[in-house]
Amino acid sequence: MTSSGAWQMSLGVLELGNVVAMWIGAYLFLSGSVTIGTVYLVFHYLRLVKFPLLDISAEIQNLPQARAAVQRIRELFDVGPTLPDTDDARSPGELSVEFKGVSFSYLPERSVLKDLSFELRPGRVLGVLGRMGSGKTTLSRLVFRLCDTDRGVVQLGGVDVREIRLDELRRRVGMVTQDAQLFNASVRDNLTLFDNSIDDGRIVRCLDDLGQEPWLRLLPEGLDTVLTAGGDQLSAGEGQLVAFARVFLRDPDLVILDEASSRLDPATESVVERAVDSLLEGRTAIIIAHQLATLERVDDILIIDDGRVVEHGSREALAAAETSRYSGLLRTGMEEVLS
Amino acid sequence: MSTLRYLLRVVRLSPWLFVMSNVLSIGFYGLPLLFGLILREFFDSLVAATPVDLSTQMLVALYALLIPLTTVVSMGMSASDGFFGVRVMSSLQRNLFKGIMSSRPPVGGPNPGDMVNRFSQDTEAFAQPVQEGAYLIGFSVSFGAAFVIMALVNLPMAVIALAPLVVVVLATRMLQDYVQRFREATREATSQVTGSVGELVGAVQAIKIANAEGRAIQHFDILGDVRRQAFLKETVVAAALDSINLMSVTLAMGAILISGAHLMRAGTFSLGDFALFTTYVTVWPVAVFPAFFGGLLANYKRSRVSLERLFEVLPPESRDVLFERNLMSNAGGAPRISLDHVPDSGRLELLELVGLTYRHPDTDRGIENFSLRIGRGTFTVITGRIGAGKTTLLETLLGLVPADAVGASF
Repeated sequence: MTSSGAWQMSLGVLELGNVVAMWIGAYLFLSGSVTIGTVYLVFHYLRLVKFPLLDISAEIQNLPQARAAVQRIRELFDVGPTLPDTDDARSPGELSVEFKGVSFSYLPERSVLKDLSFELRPGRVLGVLGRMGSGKTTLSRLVFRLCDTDRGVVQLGGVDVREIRLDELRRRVGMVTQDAQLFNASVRDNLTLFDNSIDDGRIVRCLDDLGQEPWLRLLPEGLDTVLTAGGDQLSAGEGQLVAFARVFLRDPDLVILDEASSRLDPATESVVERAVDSLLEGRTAIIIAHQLATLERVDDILIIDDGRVVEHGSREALAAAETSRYSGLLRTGMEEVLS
Repeated sequence: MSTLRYLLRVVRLSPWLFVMSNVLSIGFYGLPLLFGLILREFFDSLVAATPVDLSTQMLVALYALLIPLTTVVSMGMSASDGFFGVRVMSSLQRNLFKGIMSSRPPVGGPNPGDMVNRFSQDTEAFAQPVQEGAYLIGFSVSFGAAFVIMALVNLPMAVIALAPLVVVVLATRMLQDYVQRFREATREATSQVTGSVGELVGAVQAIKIANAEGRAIQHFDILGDVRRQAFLKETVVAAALDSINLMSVTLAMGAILISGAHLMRAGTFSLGDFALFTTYVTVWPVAVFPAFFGGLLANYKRSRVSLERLFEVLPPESRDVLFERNLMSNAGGAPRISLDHVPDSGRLELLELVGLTYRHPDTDRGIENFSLRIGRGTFTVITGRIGAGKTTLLETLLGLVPADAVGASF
């Protein structure tokens, strides 16, 4: 109802128009040049134009605000991708993973990975071990090309990841994060991430493979049940299984699994383990391990510390070697590496 | 407690500004009436149909003088009313936040988008009648005075002139519930969009990982489109109602013309009277008052709905927090945090719990009659199965949940 000072000023200026109309109207009427009807008509017309004029003045006052808003939006549009995509897409074949002298830092002077090299052959499962901050997560981000290396090359199937189209890369590589971010949308959309080309049959089969069929049956409206963003309907374990299902549905050739560092209750744990088994079948995989038990299913082990490879080899070989860190771990437990 | 009682408590958040706004509103809405009176004298002095007290020049000068006075009063009114509105809204929002923080959030709370909605729109809708109440007196006085002035000139004509305003407002009131449905739909759709923005920003990595950038944007597009449609419907319906309301002014003008014509010929209704009547039915405090009053009644009803939505997210015991007066001053920058209550000599020597009890209201699990002594420098491990009460013990100890039976001392 009430508004800005500028608006009040405009109103005052328009009222001045009435004063002028009174002055001139009185003069013209008394001199006999216009009728009293004409004098009234001028008042009436002034009344009619008053509010449209005020509206226009209010709109004009909004312009600077609009300009500032446009400026802020333009700043967002000006942000370009820092990862240049490639046009001549080379498609990697069987997915092996190879790091060649890779260095990387988020901030200058603080390198996270230092001249890191290793190779993972297709179809094998690699367990990555290391302390917090040793560079495990960064390693997986480089494979996935969430960022690019400072020096060195990451190759998938013998092809530099920078020469693979991003959507091709991310179609071939699936990543299971520690917790699934849930959307305030149906269970179906949460699993497929809004991809409606995936039919319900496949979703149900996938949940079945992951041992989640009972959970699905408990949902009041099945796949149409809408989840709230807080994820109250899902326990921690179920949240992780959603992350599994998302990757499973996309059927990637390489899986990166960031294992949950927090413990789940035993019942959920066994379901998750079954899910991991079916996910790894017939795929190359990198598991960022937080629990010793997880390593029992891997073929190769890579231990990194402060961005460098400390130990790399097949699990059997490392377990057999008396002096290896891994065999030390098997004797003393996980804490030595992780703390 | 009735809605009115709650709203009076809102007024008490900033009572002086409320009183000041109402006092200023009398001038703000009353002064425009003087313009009509001057015009009436002006036209009558021109045609000299009735004896006039003031010369034409004097009237023009008076009119010109009134303009800056009106501008000053309306600026004062804007400042007072605007400041009152901001005071009330920021107090309510701050108190709502404090209330939510004062206890564990209720289980199964709404999603972030909905929560944002409650913070911005429900606090506003709840306080709306109070905001409008800040100029209710001026509005009513002005409308009443206009009617009295018109009735003194000619009572039947006054009734005829104002009747269309009242009738049309009553008619559109009946359509309000219908409009309300569209408004609700828009609000729901907006809530979905804002919630989705929060989610997408929070889940950028998950979306990249799933190679779902395009699909996520498509999903957002769909939500945006739903909102656009809902908003369009609401705007069209609201614009239709507005034009019906505007039509009432035209109807009133017609009524004055038709019934005024023969009175003027008979000489009992002067041109000045005619100018006065047409000015009053178009000048906004009078023309808008019936719609304003009807709106106030509807907002009063809606206020209750929003209050219930605010109470939903507040723990029952901290509802009164919503009406706490907190004098936020804009002078002197941000308030300094006082650390006076931290005892400086306090070396924790002994933590003692005696009969500490808390049960979760929904599951009835928790801790009961928990007693414990922990001395300085000792190392205590608390262990137990899932659901045994470990977390609850710590929460109760830290005062995050209210203990049913208190017994913790340092």
